[in-house]
Amino acid sequence: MNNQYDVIIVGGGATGAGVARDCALRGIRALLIERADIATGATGRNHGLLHSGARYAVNDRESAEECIKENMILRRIASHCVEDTGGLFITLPEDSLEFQAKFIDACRAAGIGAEAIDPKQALALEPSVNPTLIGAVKVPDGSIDPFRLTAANVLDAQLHGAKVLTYTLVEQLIIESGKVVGVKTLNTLTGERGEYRAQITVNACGIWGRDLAAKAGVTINMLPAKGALLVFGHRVNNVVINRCRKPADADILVPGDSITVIGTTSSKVPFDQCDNMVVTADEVDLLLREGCMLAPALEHTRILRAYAGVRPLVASDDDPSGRSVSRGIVVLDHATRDGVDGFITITGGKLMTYRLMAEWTVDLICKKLGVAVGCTTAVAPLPGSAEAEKVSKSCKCSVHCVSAKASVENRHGERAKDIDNSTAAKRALVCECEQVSVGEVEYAVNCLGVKNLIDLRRRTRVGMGTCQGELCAARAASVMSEVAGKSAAEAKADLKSFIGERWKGMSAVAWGDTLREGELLSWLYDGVCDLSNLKEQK
Amino acid sequence: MRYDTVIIGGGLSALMCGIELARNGKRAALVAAGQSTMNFSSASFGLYNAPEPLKAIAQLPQSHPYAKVGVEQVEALAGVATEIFNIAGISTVGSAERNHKVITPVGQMRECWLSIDGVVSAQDDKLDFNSAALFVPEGFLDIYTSFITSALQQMGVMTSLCHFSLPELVVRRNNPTEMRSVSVARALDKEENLRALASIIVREAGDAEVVLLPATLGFAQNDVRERLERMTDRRVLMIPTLPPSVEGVKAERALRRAFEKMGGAIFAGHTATSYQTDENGEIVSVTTSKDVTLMAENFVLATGSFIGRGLEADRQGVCEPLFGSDIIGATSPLTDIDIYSPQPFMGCGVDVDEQFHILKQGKSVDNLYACGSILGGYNPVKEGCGAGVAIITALSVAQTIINR
Repeated sequence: MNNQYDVIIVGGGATGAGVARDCALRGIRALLIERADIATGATGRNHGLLHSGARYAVNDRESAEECIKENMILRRIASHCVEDTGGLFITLPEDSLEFQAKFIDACRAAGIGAEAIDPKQALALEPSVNPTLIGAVKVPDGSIDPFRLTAANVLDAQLHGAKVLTYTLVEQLIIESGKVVGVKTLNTLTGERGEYRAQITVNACGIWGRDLAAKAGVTINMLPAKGALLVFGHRVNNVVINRCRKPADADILVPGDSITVIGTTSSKVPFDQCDNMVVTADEVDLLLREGCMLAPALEHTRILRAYAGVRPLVASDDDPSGRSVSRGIVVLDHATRDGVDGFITITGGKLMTYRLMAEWTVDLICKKLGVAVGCTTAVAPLPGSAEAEKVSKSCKCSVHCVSAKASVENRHGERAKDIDNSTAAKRALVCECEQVSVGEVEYAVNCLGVKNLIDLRRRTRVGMGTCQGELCAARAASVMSEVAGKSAAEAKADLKSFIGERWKGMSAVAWGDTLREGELLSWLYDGVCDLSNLKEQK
Repeated sequence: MRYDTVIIGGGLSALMCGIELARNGKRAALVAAGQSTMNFSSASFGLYNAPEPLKAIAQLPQSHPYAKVGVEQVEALAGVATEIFNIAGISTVGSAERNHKVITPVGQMRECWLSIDGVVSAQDDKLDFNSAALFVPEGFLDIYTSFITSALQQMGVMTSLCHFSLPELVVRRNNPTEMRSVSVARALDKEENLRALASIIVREAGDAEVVLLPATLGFAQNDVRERLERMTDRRVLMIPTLPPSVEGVKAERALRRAFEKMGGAIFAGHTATSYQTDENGEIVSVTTSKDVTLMAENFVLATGSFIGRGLEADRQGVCEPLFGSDIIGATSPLTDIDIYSPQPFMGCGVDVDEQFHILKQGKSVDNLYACGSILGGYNPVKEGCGAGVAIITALSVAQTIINR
């Protein structure tokens, strides 16, 4: 087995996937290593907002400009991951219209189309918006599916020769005469150990990048900042709603697929909590209180679940106190910074700028490797977005009905044609909320690297809808066991952990209908199915 | 309208209470809001999770509903329950002295007291057959074939698998959301479909001792399994499915019919929304969402837990919305983040005295009782006693009222 690559990228979030894709498109042999599934860290734990940049316009011109540029690029290259909802920045009676004026000027200066509209017009555009608003500005916000985006980057990287290892932990960096020359790994599913070598290793681990850097003896001063969000049970708003004031907690409400998300809070958390984020009652209170200011209907809308992510904030290198935080993109060349060759860290930034972060990183890689190929990721569409406008006509996937066809094309773009829905057995629906067929599950397992039910959820939205997997999880587990060749015991253990995972997000908001669902979940899976007494797997 | 007893609720507990009252000559009425949780149940009823449930019940603390009934009475009422199931035409197997095991939809074997006859069940983890042929409608995903066949294999049963289709199911399958247990069961109500299935079974089952099918054997008809046995000259057994549970729905329907046949009245689609009292604080009547006022000597609250909306939780706490009964077990937080740990909210319920009179502000209301999962002080999931408590407390309340 050839374990030699040009570049090893550690971390399968949007950034790592973007670096892998950019490398592959430039002909650089890349290996992407992720300790769990792709998009499990901060990438999959945010609003799913396609920022226009307007939020940053007043305070951070540079970020605002980056955002609007990337916004326009993503609409082209990732059209199947993006929904053009448009956005509103609303001014409420307790906010200032002076800020609105300053905001519009700042947006325009950053190249963001911002148009003040009459509050009545805003209400007509988005009937859910707080009717007491005194001002509104239209901006080109949208929503983006981070799972789909990351999966498309990974898929394209693979199509261009990159290798991807999920559920693979980097236990050690191999360092020879002060240079990082590779990694030692552990496959967490099989227990198999491996060793891979490359001229350059890229640390794209987000907040966990501090630990990887430490393995090279390098210190990065990171500050984990937790952001909590709530998912509501249906699509309350069709347009992104923001508060037109200095960025604060819980002031963005984003519609995505069949749901709406409010977020986020911001609080420092210790490193040992980064792997186990729990949303507190206070955070839920704050999110609800502020969310209702944007759209009063939220007060009476069922909350499906709560979740939280960790922003990888980096303290500026020139500030020994660690207080001055850089919110922008941080590329650290550890050769010049720390005297450690062959090691680059890419961090900071945001989901919106993942592609630009990758571009900067791979530009640096090219310089080091002496590769003179330019970046094409700003123009080359991702798989799924290649012929988006032609899909509906050309796609031969014979899904049974319009809604299922729309769902599957929405998720996979023109790749939907690779999904086998030719027989009734393949068309049988695993998840009715999100219209996922047996054929789509097979495609996800065979082509998108799905190893378990939680991975399947990220690729297909199985269990993300109103029932939170209550009625489809067992079906999906059974189908997965057949498609992925899992033993019944493994598949049942997978089902048990999937249900456990779903409940984690529900328990923080378990009152009203969500508690009812929780009671049913417990009845069905702990009671009727008796999953608690599953014999433990080795 | 005037009754001896008005029971608010339409599920297992309400029906059991109503039937016991009706067959003892009491005029009883049920206020049944909608589908009950029997729609979600499997095809079996648990008394308590222990090989010998009565022995375990004898050890329970006084706060447990069973302890209020007393173990001897639990045993007697378990016998009454079996009798009622029989009268309603639901034939069951099992005894309260010793649990048997029943296969779950994912192929676990779990303890239970009564099973609807024909479900795959075992005594001491041993099935009474050695080979089986499993027949699954093509495109039907609510039976988890690999889980079931591997569970059977572990118990020494070799199982062959056959996917079948019937002309009617082919049509239904064009709409995949229609491939549910109830749709399959409805198709098998029809003689021609059943005959077609029988001939497939005869052709494909080889020398398997028993024929297995998902629990979708007839929806309107109650004798489909027996007819299929006669047509194929084989033993036919069922594997329970996740909701909607055809056997649960059929059992509920059978109990409702039995209750009505005994003269009981069911106000279906009504929700009790308010009540009236006399000067002593006793309940005189309840009024429903359709503006019907029902007067009675006794009232029984059997509206279930959170799922049945007998209890409601908001951010501030838990309440019982109709009578404002006292609540026990409303801990903060109400949940545990691990779904497989005991969930604190399961212990929530209305506070009652030793005869299941509901307490309001610490004082019991003389003609107002509670039974079933609206009671607190126990964990139906972890103790495997949800159905048992529903049935036993219902019968206990009925007998208190009869003896009044």
